[in-house]
Amino acid sequence: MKRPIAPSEASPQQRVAARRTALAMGLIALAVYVAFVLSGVIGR
Amino acid sequence: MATHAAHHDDHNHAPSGFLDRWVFSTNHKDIGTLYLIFALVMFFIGGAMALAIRAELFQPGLQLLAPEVFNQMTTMHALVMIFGAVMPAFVGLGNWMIPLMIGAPDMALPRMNNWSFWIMPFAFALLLMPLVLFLAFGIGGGGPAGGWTLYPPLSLQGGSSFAFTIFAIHLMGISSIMGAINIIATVLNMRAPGMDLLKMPIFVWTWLITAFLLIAVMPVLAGAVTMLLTDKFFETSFFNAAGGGDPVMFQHIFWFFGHPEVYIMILPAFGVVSEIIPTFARKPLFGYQAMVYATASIAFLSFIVWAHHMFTVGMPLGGQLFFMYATMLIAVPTGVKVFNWVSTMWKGSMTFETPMLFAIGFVIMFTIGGFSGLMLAIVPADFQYHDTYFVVAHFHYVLVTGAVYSIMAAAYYWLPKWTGHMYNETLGKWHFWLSTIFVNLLFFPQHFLGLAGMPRRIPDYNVAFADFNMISSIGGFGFGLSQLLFVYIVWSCARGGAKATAGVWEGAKGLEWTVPSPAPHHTFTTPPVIDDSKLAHGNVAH
Repeated sequence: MKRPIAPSEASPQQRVAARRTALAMGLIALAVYVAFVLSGVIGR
Repeated sequence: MATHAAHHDDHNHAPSGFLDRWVFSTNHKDIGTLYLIFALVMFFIGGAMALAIRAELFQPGLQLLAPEVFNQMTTMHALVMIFGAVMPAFVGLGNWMIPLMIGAPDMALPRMNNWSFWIMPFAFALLLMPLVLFLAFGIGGGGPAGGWTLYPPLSLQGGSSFAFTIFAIHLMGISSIMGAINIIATVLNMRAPGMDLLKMPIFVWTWLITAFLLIAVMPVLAGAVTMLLTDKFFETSFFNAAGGGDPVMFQHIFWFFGHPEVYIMILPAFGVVSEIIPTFARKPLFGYQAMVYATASIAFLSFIVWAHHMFTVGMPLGGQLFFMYATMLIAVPTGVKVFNWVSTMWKGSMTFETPMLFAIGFVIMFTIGGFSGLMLAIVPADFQYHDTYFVVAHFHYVLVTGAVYSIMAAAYYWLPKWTGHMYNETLGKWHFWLSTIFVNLLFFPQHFLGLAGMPRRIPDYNVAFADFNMISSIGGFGFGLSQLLFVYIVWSCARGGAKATAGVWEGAKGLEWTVPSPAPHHTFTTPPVIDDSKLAHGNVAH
């Protein structure tokens, strides 16, 4: 895929912060998924 | 407002090639358009299934559909409408409008935005494939038929289409989670300087809260269907009573996802209506901060009411009372919202363009759906109403005259900003009134059918229910045909029409109305300077 072509982009600080937020949210989603499946496995 | 700063950097450098523009796009506006077109296509596919259901139910007896095909239609209609039409439509609206509303140049993670969208067509190809293969070529046993709730053990007794359904749901969930992550990252990190959280448009607030809901509950659905998959194909017994599993546990897990899912489909609708009503009442939104807190309260309460969907499976009295009262508690923040919408209109200089008509229609008819929800929250009453057409009437008032009406309102409201042309106002009003007459003809009699005891998800019924079913089916076909008018209006608006100004509507306030119409391919490449007095809700002391 091509590089995003917005002519003026987010500042480096914004990029880092956005990536950090995205990573945190992704990890939370993954943790919820794993926790629910594990609760099914362990709870039996 | 910093229109000079914004406009000097507005460019219309859209890629010229079709693939570059639409397949490899990382532009929030183009991806928003893709989402909206996808949602419209799914709306008509799901609508065709609804018409097949209503045609079968036009009169008692089996006419058109074999019972197993009827069950596939009800199941697929729900899955397509929820995951294919309503949710992607709101993601499309969010993609288009959130960066414009907060003064951001694009979404925070443009490549992931592209990926979020392009997962969806593959997910729905998988979901629809078994049904299409069966109906068109007689291959296989058709699609899933156990209802969109996928309750075991019934869902585990289906054919091989089950694997397609589970995989499709996983893909939709991944797409939704990536979309939600993008919206959270955008709103929290990409706002223009001065655009404080409590200066954001309500639509952005409702989407931010919705995105957190998605992060919290889509993995729960994914976990539940993963366990269903292993029960079906890998000999586990999470929900299989014969192996020591608990089918009721699936219902608890499913509705822990399912009830917040209802609010995922309605909170952005609240945001849309909260944008439109102040514009056409020419007054600031009454109680901006109360609206924000009410939205957050509804989101919180949505996590503690799930078992009201399953009173009849049996639970301790304490559990019944808790879930009943918690459910009724949701009426408080929802009532705050309805009160604030009415108060915004109170003594306003109101005009009734099509977006406002749909918004007012939303307020009135969503409230009808809310009231029937309160009736269903009462445990002893729910024992009578459960699994009847009363429930069908209730959630269709919430999701059709609620969520779908708000999407229609949003489409008419922002169409001039998207296309640069005004739509045909006369035809828009025709669309609203035809839709409103027929949608009530379609769903209001279903309350009476349910109260009289007609169960849902049946292809045949007692002759005592014949008259109201016939009226409902006439309403269904009228409503379905009315939506063709919407397609024509959107199509003709995209192709031409009176030129839209930047402000479009006399009472419109906010950053999105400072850019030209149509919005250039790139906007706010230089952050705008925020002038509180020109924001829709900038001065919260209003």
